[in-house]
This record gives sequence, C-alpha cells and structure tokens, in this order.
Amino acid sequence: MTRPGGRAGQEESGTLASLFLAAMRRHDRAGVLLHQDGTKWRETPDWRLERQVIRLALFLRERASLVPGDRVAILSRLRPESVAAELAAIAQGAAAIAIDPELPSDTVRRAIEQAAPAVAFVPRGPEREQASGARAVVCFEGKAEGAWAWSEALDLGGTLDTPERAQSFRAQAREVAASSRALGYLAGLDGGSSCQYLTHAEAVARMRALRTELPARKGAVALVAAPPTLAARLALLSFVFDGLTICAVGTPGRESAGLQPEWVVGPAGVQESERTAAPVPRRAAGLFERVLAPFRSDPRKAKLEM
Amino acid sequence: MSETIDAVVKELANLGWHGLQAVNTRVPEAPSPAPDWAPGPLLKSHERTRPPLGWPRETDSLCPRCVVETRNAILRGERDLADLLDGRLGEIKARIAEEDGRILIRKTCPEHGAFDDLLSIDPEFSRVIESRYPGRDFRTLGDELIHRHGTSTIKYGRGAVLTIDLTNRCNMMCNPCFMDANQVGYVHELTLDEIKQILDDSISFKPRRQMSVQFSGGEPTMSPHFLEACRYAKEVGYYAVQAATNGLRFALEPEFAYAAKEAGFDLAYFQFDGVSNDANKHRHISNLFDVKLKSIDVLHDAGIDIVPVTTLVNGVNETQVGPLLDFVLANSDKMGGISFQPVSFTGRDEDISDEDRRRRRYTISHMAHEMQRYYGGKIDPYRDWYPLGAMGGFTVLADHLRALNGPDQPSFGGLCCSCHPNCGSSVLLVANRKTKVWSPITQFFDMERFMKDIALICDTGRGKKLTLAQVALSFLRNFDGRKAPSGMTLLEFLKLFNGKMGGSLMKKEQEQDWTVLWIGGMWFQDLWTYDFRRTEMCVIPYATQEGEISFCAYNTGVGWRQIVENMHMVARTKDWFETRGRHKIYAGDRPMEVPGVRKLPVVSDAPQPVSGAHVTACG
Repeated sequence: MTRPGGRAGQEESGTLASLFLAAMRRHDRAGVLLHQDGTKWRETPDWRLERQVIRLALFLRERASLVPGDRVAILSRLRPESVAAELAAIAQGAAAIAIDPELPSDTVRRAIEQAAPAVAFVPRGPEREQASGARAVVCFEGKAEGAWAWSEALDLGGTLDTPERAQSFRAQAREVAASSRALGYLAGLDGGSSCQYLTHAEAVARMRALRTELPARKGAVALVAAPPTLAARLALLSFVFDGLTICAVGTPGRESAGLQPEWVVGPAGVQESERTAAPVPRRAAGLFERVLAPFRSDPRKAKLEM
Repeated sequence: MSETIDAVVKELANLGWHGLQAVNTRVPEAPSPAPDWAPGPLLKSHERTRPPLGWPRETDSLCPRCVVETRNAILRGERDLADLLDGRLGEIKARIAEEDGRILIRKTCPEHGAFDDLLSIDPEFSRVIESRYPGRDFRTLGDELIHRHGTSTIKYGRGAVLTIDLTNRCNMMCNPCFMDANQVGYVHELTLDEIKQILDDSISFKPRRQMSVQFSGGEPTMSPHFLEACRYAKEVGYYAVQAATNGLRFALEPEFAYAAKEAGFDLAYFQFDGVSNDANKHRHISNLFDVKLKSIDVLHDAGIDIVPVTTLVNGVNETQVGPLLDFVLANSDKMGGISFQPVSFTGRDEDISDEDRRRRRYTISHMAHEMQRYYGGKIDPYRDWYPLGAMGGFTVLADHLRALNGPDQPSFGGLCCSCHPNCGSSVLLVANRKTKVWSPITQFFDMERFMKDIALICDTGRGKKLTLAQVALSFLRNFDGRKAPSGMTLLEFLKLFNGKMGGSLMKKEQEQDWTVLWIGGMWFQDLWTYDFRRTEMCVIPYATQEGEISFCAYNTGVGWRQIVENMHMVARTKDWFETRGRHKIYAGDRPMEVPGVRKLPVVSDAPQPVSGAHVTACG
C-alpha cells in the first residue's frame, strides 16, 4: 500500500527530509523500529514514528521557535526517541548533532558549547545543565526543572497536530535545501574535537552508496547497536528510509536476543557475538568499511570496522 | 432455466425441512452450549425476555423541565450526584397510545404540566416492527462497577457498539449537534491512559462481547490519541474500530487516513446530510458537500469502509432521503449502507419551543413512507423493515455455531444488536456493484420465516452437522429466485450470507459483485420521547470515566454527559487555547480550502417523481 503524494521509491529525493516523507508513504513492514523493553522487543510502526516526528517538529517550532538553520543537539545513545528527535530537526531544516553521553564530560561540554544548539535533547534531568544555553531542553526520561519531559513535548505536539499544521510540516520538509546542514558529528575525540556537518545532499549520497549493494528486502531486520556516531546514524536512517527494513536499535554490548538480523552495525565485539548467533553477510563487511573509511582517524569509529 | 432449477430446489428444500422437523421437534431440546464468554447457557427463544410492547401501554419517562432544572442544580453544586443515583429525579409516568391514526406519547408533570410528542405516523408499521423483535439478550453479570447509574443503568445485552468520546473539541459548528461542542466553555478530553482503562473495563464482565468500538466526540480525529486508541482497541480484542467523524481531517490530510487504517481504523461513520452543498448549509461550510466527496475518495483509497450518517429534520433535509440512498447505491463500491437518524432535540436544542419541535419532528415511520414514495413501492414499509434488534437473531445462530467448535471457541460472543424495537429499524438491500441492480432482500427472501427457522434450529440445539443441514434447508426454502433481481442466483446469495456470517458456512470470498447494503433508521430519544424501557437495554452505550452509560441517558435524559464532562473537564476553553493553541474551526458559511476538492457529477438532489406512484402524505 502506498499513500498519496507519489510513487514511493522512485522519486529522486535530494534531502533526508524528502526521503523521510517518501518512506512514510510506503507501508510494507510491520514496524520501522524495534527497541528493548526489559527482555522483549517492542515495535514502533511507521504511523507512530511519523506522528511522533510531526508532533515533535510542531512542538519545536511553536515552543522552541526552531527555524531552518538552527542546531539541535541530541545527547543520547541511539534509541527510538533520538531517531524521532533527529528526524524532527532535519525535517524542519535544522541540523541534528548527536553527542555520545559516554564521552568524557569535558568533551561533551566543549561539543555542546561549539554546537550552541537552539534545542537540546538529554537523557535525564541532571544532564540538562550541560545544555543550559539552549532555548529549550527536553529530557527523554523523567523531567526536570526548566526542561520539558519527552511525554510533555509529545503531548503538546499532539494538540498542535491538526491537519493544517501537519500539512505545513510536510510543505516545510519539502522546501529544505539539499545544500543545508543536516547531520552534525564530532570529528576527533581528543582535546581538539570539533563539530562537523554533512549537508542533506552529502548524507543522501553516503546512504545511497551504503545501500546500493544491499538492497532493501521486505521484513529484513537490521540491528544497530552502536554509539551515536555518524556512520551508525547514516546506517540507521538508511534502514528507516528504505520503507522495508525493520531496524532494531540496541545498546552496545547487549545481545539481540530473539532477533535474527541480516545486518549488524556495531563495534567489533557486538558484531562477533551477533555473528555466532546469525552470520552477517560477508559482503556487508567490505561495504561498511568503504563507507566508514573517511572516518578512520577516529579511534572510536575504527571499532566499527569489521 | 436457472429460475426453474431454483424453484425446484426451493420446493425440495421445503419438503426436506418439514420432514426433518417432523423428527427434530419430537426429540427433546438439547441443552444450549455455555461458552466461557457468556453468563450462562445460550438463551433459547422462549427464554428471552421482552419489554412491554404494543399500545396502549404505560412506561417510565422524564419531565423535560424537571430534568434540566435538576441537572443544572447538580452542576452548580446545589444538589448531590447521589440524588441522581438513588432518587428518581424528574421521572414521571408516560402513556403510549394510538390516536387518530398516529402513536403519541403523553405525560404530565405535577409542576410543569402536560407534554406530548409523536412516535409514529403509521401504527400498523410500528406494530409490524414490534412483532419482529426476537427478545432481549442476556442480563449483564458482574458489571456493578461499570453499570451504576440509578434508573438509567443498563441491565440487558452485551451491546453492539461501544462509543467513546475522545474529545469534545470539534472543527465545525453544527446545528443540530447534541455534543454542544465549542459552546460549553470547557474541554473534556480523555488521556491515553483513560482510554486504555475504559477499553480494559469494557471487557471485564459478562457477557463478554464482540463489539465494535466507535470513537466519537466532538470530532474524534482531533484527539491526539486517535491513532493509539485505534491500535489499543484492536490489541485488547475489539474486532472493528469505527469513528463518528465529519471527515474533514481526511480531506485535509489524506496521509492521516492511511496511518489510521494501519493503526486499526476500519470504518468511518461519516456525517453526511445531503447530496449538494445547499442540502448541507445548516452545517455552515458553504462547500461542505465537495469536501465530503474528497473525504470519501480518500477513505476508500485507504481501504476504510464508509457508512454515511444523516440527521433528518423535517423541513430541513427530509427530501434528501431518496437522493441520499441513490448516492449510496451509485457508490456501493465505497459504502456499506447509510444510517438515517431522525432528529432528537438534545444539546443546544433542549430549549426548542413546542411549536418548532412539532414542526421539525421526524420519525422512522416518516422515513419508511418516504422511501416507499420515492421508489414507487419498491421498498415496502411492511414487508421490508425489521427492528434493529432482529439482527440479534443472526447472532444467535453465529454464537451457536461457534460454540459447537469445541476447544476452538472464541473468547467473545458475536456482535449482538438486541435493542428495543422502538430504537430503530432497518432494511437490507442487495446491490450489484457493476450493474447497479438492487432490491430489498425481503423481496425474494422470506426473512420472517427464516428467523423463525433459526430460532427453532438453535432451540432444538443439535450437533454441528445437523445444525448446518437445517440452516441450509431453511436458506433454500426461503429463497425465491423468481423474485430476485437479475443476476442474483441462489449461489450468489449464499456467498453474501456466508460473508455476513463471518465465513461460518464456507470459505469466504474476498471479491464479490454483489454486496449487502444496510439502510438503517436509528432514532435517539430526547426529553419528550424518553422511555426508560429503552435505555435499560441500550446496545450502544457510552464508555466514560464514570462507567458505561446508555446512549440516550448520556446525550439526553438526566444529562449524564454534562455531569461526567464537568466532573472530568481538563480546562476551560479559554485556558486551553492559551496554553495549547487554537485549532481551526470551519464555520461562518465560508468555503474550506482543500487541495483536490472538485465538483463531481452526482445524482440530482431534487426529488424525482416516479410515474404511477401513489404519493402518501407523511406526518
């Protein structure tokens, strides 16, 4: 089934925003994301992810005055909420900068100072202090003084989610320029780390290269159990955008109990443990290597090589 | 040739039936199965109770003035809610009787004087409808926490449709509207946790029922939890999810329709008052019909079924009955029928003057005669109309057959409409989606005798094979191919029947040329026509934070809606807008700007006189 607006998969989409819109027109999978809830995997269907992205975007626009060109920092491991936050930001023409909260606190602090985000997403209340300069801070878990709880942001976004505003979200997403900044990442993890950006066009090109040799297959499961590096985010987004793959977002070091992923994106240790459970196609090894090669100077990212 | 074969088959089946029953009725009835979902063994026809029917009869009703005064006193805090639960506030006796060829309800309040209203313009029609009522469903069991509303408490039945108001916010300003949306000054909107709790509670007692859930409002698609509510309803086991919607959201945002379908949304109970913009002008959007056409296209594209719902008001749109049915027939590929709802004066209309009320009153009997007139007698008021509660007769058979599946029994009873015969009536049509040929089923199928046969089959309670054999014989003996429309053969009709029985008889076919259209008349009560015998067996209750309340007791009657909403309001409307933003309201007789809205050639909305038809004055 394909929703209105064009034939999904066949348009030449130049931005991550338009890829997102196109993906939400396809409905060939049971769920787009999986995450662990205790010992079980819980699915997020396409319609739920789309609605969360729209609502979060409306919340950011109305309450945080987010405009195209702004920066949104996401201080979190990869999780369904961080995916929604990233998509909400980039669909509105803002740049999403992912920062691994496991990095040394000084590194995190400098990264946020450099990014100077308009909006920051943090895991919990205490981390709010690290983003005190942002116009709005949203906590994925719990709440804190001066910050919005994730549920509050979605709740308000839910009320803002009228058909008129939802369509304005889509119209704005279609207007995002391919040359504008999309994904921000930290280059260099030592004292000289700096915030770099991929434009929409660059990100799309990398994702296409990643997936050319690994076409999407309906019902295939991909596991992304990695820190929020650029490579992991690109892989994750490519799975979301293909409209067919179910992407499990795991925690590095935890096993994918009950899954039989066809692709695994994660540090070497994770890949080894997954390989014994479900062999990863060898072709994927070389492919990820080619995608990740430009980042080889980053010792953390090097761990992603197979 | 096929007609001859059908006639032979009919006669042979009739002989077979009589031969089988000669033995079957002499063997003692077997005990009824007792499935887990039921409070006891399935009811035999002679075990079903009935409310008092016929006339003259006395019943319990309400004084239209006392009720409003009492309700307002409770809302102001001057009286306690306990008075409503324990007392009989505003209750007076009423007499239903035939006068001058009409059926009227008359009652007198010691304080406010006499009231009367019209119930039917054709006593014979009403008598036939009441005679076809098969009896009530089970008494409810273990429901004390859910059904606890004094004399308004539901006592019978497993219900057919559970209505949940997700929000009282709306994007239109209609008159009539019993929701009084946008006028009450407060927002009442359920949280997702409350919605889930209501759904969980609704399956906590017996009879555990296979119901539809209908999300309503205001406009339910304005609730931020609409999609999640659809999903949760399916997760807990509801087999169908509906929404009573004006459809504007789907016209404005087609993507939402697809998301809704995926989330579990099945059927749009689609507000639809006429086949032109002029016929919809009382809804105060000047191009509303055009927008509705867009909605229909979008919903159909997304795979969502559509049943248009029309409020009929005498002097406003009563001439639309025929054109609306024509529209449904022309679009039978998109629609499963139509629900006509003669106006009930509630909400903003509680203040209506007696003169206006009498002038605008419209009953199901009016509607039955209007259809007879419009179609030149093709739809007959006495042959073709059955009470909505007659559908329960088919549920009896479905329950019986499923109970005979042994360990594979379902955990829910079948959908059972067992409402009071005065609540509504319907006609079933068959229509060919390609040729557009149509006719009432009762034109060629003896429904009355079939229902009696079903009662006998279930009462005698034989094993599955013998039960199915009897059903087959009854089916065959009651089908008259000589009277069926062109192309409607016995096999085609059997496939349709099997589809409506959920595939109980044979493998269900997905695509068929023929479809069944349900043409319903549902007449909700107001303070002038109120009858407690109806509310206590309501099958379309509202599920609220204060339990499940009969539809009419909620929307009118003592005014449970106002009471519940005041108890659980979220914010004053002004505060809501300030903190959460305004939503757009389409009103003021202006057109809506909707991409893709276009004029389509549709059937004329002017009544078409049928040559040779005898025109009957109505009302």
